[in-house]
Amino acid sequence: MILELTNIAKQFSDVQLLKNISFTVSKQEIVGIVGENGAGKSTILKMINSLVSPDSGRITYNNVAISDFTEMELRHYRKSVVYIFQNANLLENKTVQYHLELIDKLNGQKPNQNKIDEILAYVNISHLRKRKCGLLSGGEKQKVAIAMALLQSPTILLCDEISSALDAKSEQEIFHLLKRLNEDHQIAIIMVSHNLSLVKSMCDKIVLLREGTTHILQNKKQPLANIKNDYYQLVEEYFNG
Amino acid sequence: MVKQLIIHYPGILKSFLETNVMVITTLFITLLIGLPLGVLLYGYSEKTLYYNRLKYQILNVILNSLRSIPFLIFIFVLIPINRMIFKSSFGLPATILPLSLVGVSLYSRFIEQALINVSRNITERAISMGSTKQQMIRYFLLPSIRKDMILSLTSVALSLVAYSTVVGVIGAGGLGDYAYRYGYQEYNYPLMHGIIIIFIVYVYILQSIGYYFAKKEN
Repeated sequence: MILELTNIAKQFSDVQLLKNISFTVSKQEIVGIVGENGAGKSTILKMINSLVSPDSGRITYNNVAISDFTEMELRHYRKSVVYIFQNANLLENKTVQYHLELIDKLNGQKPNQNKIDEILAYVNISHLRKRKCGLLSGGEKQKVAIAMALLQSPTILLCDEISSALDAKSEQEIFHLLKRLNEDHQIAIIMVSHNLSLVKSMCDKIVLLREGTTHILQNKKQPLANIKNDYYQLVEEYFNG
Repeated sequence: MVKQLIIHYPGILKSFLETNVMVITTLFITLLIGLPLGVLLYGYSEKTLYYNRLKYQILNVILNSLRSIPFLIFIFVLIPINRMIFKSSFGLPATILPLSLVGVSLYSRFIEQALINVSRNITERAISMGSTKQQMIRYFLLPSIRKDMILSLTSVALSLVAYSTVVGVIGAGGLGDYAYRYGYQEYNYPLMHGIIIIFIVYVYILQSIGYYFAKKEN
């Protein structure tokens, strides 16, 4: 196991968003986080990336609590546990090349053009190299974000509803790419998505968020207990067949 | 009017060059000091950077004060400091300080406002990629506001052109001063109107240059 969340709780204003979140992520495992809007799925990813701090509980990476990391260790950690945002969060007035060169620059190194060429070809966006990100489609932006992530040689990818603004074809392409990354580079993936069929087809483990707590569905067959809400019935039927 | 412009051609050219020296020199200083100051102003108000309420307020008060003093009075107030730095309280060098201070106070505010408008998504991405504060400014924030940096600098340049007409009071010359002395004071209104047209064309050209470079950033 490379990542473990234990009894994570988080409150925003008067709302106790997350009460008791616990799950683990192993090497090369694909974990899907599902739940209703506002259930706290993205907050969990942000806490894993240390963009948001939990009120209580513990997140460990390779058995070390991320809250104990020094500033430098935290920066290194963030380069290994890479966040891919819902809208890719790219600089609209900058080219794809600029974004890819950023990775080496942030490490204080000269951009490795050969590696960039290789990754662009792998993600199949070599033709977009000189294009400004503001001119890219949603799917292309996500591919750039994935290429950037890949250049960081990550151990875990945190995918935050990355297909929410994409059409079905682009969504399929992106998830095929993620699956390929997972297999070729042994990268673990934690993905938040509302597309249950994709989650079902991709994930080894599903973390269902309900009223601030987690229900783990291993191998897509484990039944959910005490399901009353329609959404959860739907999820149960879907994953339990 | 054209006749008067031709007669006064050498004087107009000399004054126009003086205006350009004033504007270009102070614009350079404005960029050099105003840009980092604007970033600092934003950084002091931003938790992810160098958050410090006290330092922000001190800078805030200084910059507001600079902008509050009427420019004509400001020139006189700075005479002792000019004497200290340039060993002179009049002429072209003495204009650099008041014009630069005005330019810096305007430009740093423009930069601060542009940075405030940068999407949270960009700062979040920078942090999530493990960048340091300096890297966040250099690779994410400043590239995000390139267009604003150019357009703001253009606005400051236009303001400096306007302010440069006032510095004639300390004998700095310039096109505005020429129009005042040889046009207005000598009742040569055609000359004054001719110089106004030169100003309009000059400002139009400056604005077009700004738009041209800003457009390239799209």
